[in-house]
Amino acid sequence: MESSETDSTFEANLPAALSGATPLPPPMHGYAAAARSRSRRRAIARASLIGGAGLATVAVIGGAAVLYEPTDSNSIAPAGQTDPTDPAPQQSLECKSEQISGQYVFPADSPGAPTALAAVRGYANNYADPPFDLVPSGSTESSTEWQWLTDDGAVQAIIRVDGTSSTGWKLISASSCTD
Amino acid sequence: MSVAQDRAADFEDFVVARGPALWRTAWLLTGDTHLAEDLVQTALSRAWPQFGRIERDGGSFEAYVRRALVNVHLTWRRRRWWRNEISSATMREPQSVVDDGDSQVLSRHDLLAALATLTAKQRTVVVLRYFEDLTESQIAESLGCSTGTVKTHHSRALAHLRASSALAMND
Repeated sequence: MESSETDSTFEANLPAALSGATPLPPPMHGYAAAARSRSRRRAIARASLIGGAGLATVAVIGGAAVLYEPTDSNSIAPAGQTDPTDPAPQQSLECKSEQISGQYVFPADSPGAPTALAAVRGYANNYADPPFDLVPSGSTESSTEWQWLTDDGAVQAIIRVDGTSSTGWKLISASSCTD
Repeated sequence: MSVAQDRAADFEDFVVARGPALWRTAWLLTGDTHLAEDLVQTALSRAWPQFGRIERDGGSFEAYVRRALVNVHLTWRRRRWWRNEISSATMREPQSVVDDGDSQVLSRHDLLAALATLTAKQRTVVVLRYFEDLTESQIAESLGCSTGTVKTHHSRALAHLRASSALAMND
């Protein structure tokens, strides 16, 4: 490719422009464990599908009730954790036809309790697809309900909250549910 | 410590050391902080089963992860629900600026707006070429295409960027 002097200047500026414009990355502690965990679940799901048990795939994933996926070491306690000093949030998912609703409740005295719901995201197709935003309903305080519509049979919900004992958005748990 | 634990610890070290760079690449590809996180974690989860083998064979695990990152990103972009950056008629205030000392000022928003005009593969080529500093043959390997195809994407991407009003540099 032949370039004029102007083009060369333009190209020469691109590396610095790209590098300088990117924001600071988040802490990477916990990423490796989460990736290994997700990889393991993916392998289980694929094995189930190969066995012809499509619904069992969801059952296997959903059987764990809550799948913990921390994105960093400061993540708030996941549901199911039994540490009495950090009570686990309670959550439930209810599946109806192409609609899933749920409730996510943090005990008020939990040291890691969130002050507000930051976002609820859904993952379809066993994490094979990128997430989509879910629409919270009801309170956006520590007791939160959410619901969403999906045309996929299996959905995992990921919840991010702003915590009192940590800052930033935390990926704290996931559940799956199918009609 | 068992072999499995050693491998997990090595993987953790790799992610802590190289994860930030992978995330920045993912951010440039997606233009979204959270999608970048999801993209990196998806790529890592797909690459992890090969970690031991690649390390043992003396290969580059980072190159493998980067290839997974690119492939996952391109797959996402092909899906119908991909939400690209939303263009706006109103120019926002720059969130950050780059100044290389020659009055070359570029905002993050401007950069994203310019990158958003590219196709998924053009954008990937630009990011891998100018941010990752990969050669055209390395990019071709990552994309699974010929170097000729990379040259075409590269040339068209630069033409688009040069024409982008958002990325009008003080040439």
